Amino acid sequence: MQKQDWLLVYLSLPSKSKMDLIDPIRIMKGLFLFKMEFKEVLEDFYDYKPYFYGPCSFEIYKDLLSLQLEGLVDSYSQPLSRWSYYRLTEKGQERASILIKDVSLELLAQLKVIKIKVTSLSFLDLLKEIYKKYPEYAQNTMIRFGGIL
Amino acid sequence: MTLIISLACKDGTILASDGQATFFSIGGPIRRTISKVKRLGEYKLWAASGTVGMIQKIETVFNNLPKEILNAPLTEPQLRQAILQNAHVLRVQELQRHRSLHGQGRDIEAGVADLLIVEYQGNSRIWHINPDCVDESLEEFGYGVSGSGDVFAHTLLKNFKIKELSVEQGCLIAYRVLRDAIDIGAFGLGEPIDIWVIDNSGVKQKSQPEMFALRDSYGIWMEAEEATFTNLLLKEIKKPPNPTSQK
Repeated sequence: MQKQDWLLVYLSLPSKSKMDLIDPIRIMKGLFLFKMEFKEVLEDFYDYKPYFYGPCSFEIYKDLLSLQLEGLVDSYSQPLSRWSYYRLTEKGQERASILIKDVSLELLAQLKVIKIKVTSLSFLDLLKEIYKKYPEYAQNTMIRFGGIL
Repeated sequence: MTLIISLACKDGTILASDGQATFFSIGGPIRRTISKVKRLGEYKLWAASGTVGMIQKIETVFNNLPKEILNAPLTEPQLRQAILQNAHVLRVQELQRHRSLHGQGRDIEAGVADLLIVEYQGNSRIWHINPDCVDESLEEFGYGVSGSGDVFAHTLLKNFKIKELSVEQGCLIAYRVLRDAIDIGAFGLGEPIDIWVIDNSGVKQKSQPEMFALRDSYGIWMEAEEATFTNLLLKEIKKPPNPTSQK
């Protein structure tokens, strides 16, 4: 499995978001948590660096763009909305269902749990949890979770 | 219509702009997407607000300057003189053309170019040349702005200690200022936002993935601001009076 395949599989899994639309922060964070838990078994996966909002992979943005160009992913944005939202197209769903066959049941189950979790939490609670568990990725953050938030 | 921002950060200089220009046609103004930030020699960037035709004439002048002048530091008098003289000649020509058609009372309608030229060579420099070729150095203030959306930028930028920030942090602030000005609907401003950085590693334009990352950082920043307001300020206001302080 290549890293882009993992992105497609992640997008295909159920979430707590409305209409299965997911924002890039929750894509980024879900795949990060998956990587941190299973880095020993993941051969080709996204690199993350500490950024303003914790772990960030610029490659994920790049891949979301190329998957859109391939017609596998759709992006939705509304005027004044803070980010774009992503969802698999029918073609993307078909590709993901083929890829899922190569994923072990254990990894798939864990990835599902992670996606449900990251789509259940607010942005700030999600960041807070990740910063607590992986403080090395919080060093460039613009938000310090001290006594205020 | 335009908004251009330059930030003099502690480790580099930023030049950023919106991506819409207004061209004039007989049928009415036409909006088009353009790149406003341009290179000037190897170590400098420039951008201008004003009339597209005037900015294009300035660009031609820049393109024809000798390489040794183009690559000289912004503090170099020869470079400053060459640019100011050429800008002055263009301004006078434009005023003469305009007056020959409309008389002297309507100079305000003549074509203009308001320039920001920036560099980083160990120190940030922001050089502003206004349409009448009066120039000023703005690095001392930490930022320079140009264009019809400049009031938005001044309002937001006054809250930050730009000179203490890294260029990465400055890029996020530049993104926020431009995004807010565009969202508020300042006339003629629009996407795409374009951000360039000059630091010790050279001149670099932010890539599309980097711009997406800035957009999402901005989103998180707004979430955090809302939460801070709700949790800190509103709760404080709603807090019941302390009974021990009552008489």
